[in-house]
Amino acid sequence: MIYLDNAATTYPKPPSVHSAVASALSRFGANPGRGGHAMSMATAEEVYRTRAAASDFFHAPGPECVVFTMNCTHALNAVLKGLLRPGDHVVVSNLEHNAVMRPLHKLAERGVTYTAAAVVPGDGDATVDAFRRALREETRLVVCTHVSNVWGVRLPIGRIAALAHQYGIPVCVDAAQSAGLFPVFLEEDGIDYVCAAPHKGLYAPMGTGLLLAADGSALDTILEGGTGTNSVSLDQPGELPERLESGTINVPGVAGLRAGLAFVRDKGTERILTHEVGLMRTLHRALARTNGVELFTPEPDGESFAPVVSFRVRGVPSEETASLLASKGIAVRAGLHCAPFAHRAFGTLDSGTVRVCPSAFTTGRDVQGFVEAMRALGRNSHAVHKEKL
Amino acid sequence: MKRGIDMGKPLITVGSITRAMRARDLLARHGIDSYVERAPHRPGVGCGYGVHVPAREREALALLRGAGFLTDAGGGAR
Repeated sequence: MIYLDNAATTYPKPPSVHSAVASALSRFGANPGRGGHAMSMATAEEVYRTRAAASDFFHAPGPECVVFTMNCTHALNAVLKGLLRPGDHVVVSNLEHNAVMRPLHKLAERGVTYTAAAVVPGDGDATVDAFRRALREETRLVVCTHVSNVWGVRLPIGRIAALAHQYGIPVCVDAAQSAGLFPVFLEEDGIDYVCAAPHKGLYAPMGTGLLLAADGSALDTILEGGTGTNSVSLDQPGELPERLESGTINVPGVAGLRAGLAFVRDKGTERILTHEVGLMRTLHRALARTNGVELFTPEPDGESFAPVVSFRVRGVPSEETASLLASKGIAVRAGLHCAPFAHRAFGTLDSGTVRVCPSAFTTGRDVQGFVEAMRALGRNSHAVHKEKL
Repeated sequence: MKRGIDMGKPLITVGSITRAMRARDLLARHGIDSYVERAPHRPGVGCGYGVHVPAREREALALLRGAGFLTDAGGGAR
């Protein structure tokens, strides 16, 4: 199989992640932060080390700022529903994933409103201006994707955060698609909340999510329960991370996350980015020369455009293209990628697109295999088209 | 400080396991050895964790108090 669906979940995982997960099942089989026996304490130590590693990776103030969630969607829900109240207004980008848009749609029932700022791909000034124009007096949060999961468009999050902070508005960044490729730093970028999907660019197992909050005191809880502290009180504890982490966490996943973070750190995000951009430039050029292929973004440059390419074949439904590729052993993702907003912005809401995304493990041979398959599909569709005429 | 019931040694209770580990790290940065341990049950509070400091306990207590570790409702010097 040629796996090019890494924007959904990276595959394969590094051997170190496999080992960490397997090892956790035998070495860290007790609840962390609950008991006092040796295995419970060892498990808690592993969880704490992962918090510290994530805190270092995202330049958070400390391990206590790292909350483990089920996934990035859970983390985004925790911020949106923990922070917003009736009458509040939110500014988002017009490239958001449903992980942001569906919670906001739900919150609209409680009187929360939002405005979508139109991102101008490749133009940071125009994008920041769009966010500025979208702000209102009642704006309580700016939440935006760092990198579009469909188009790879990268938003200037540091500048957007600086703008929002001028008005005392906190900023939440959806780093699902960027963490592991681009720097996402709470302290330097001035981001209040970072939500990440470790099963993507951090090479962790699925079922792991991250919420990093420089100061989580403003967040109300969306889930309450046991935390291992102050058990007599029915009130949820006030301090992070326990306040937002009720119930037993995914310890094998967390152990895998630590190994994934180490993998990315050792390899280097810049090196991974350079590798992936090189592959996607080759792929983009080849697609541009392929019969009937429509591209919507320029070649990924690793600055304004991340190594994600979405395309469609004229006259062929995206799902059909993906299905034909799957029949040749090539895994890609077709459709709307849970981001109808992003598709509407590029005029592809009705057709969807086929998305291709590499990982650190993707090779030039993989890309060549994809290109050859696409050329064969192009020839076939051309022949069918001629036959119909 | 008060001696823990089960371990029979001084324990500074700080609340959660994360807080206890952060406290241990802070003390380590100041060259003070400490160990995270489960705190004895406290009526009216319940579960929690603390750090056992075999030596330089007063200094450790002052450091933790200065860093805000002992202000939590569930924590404190025991």
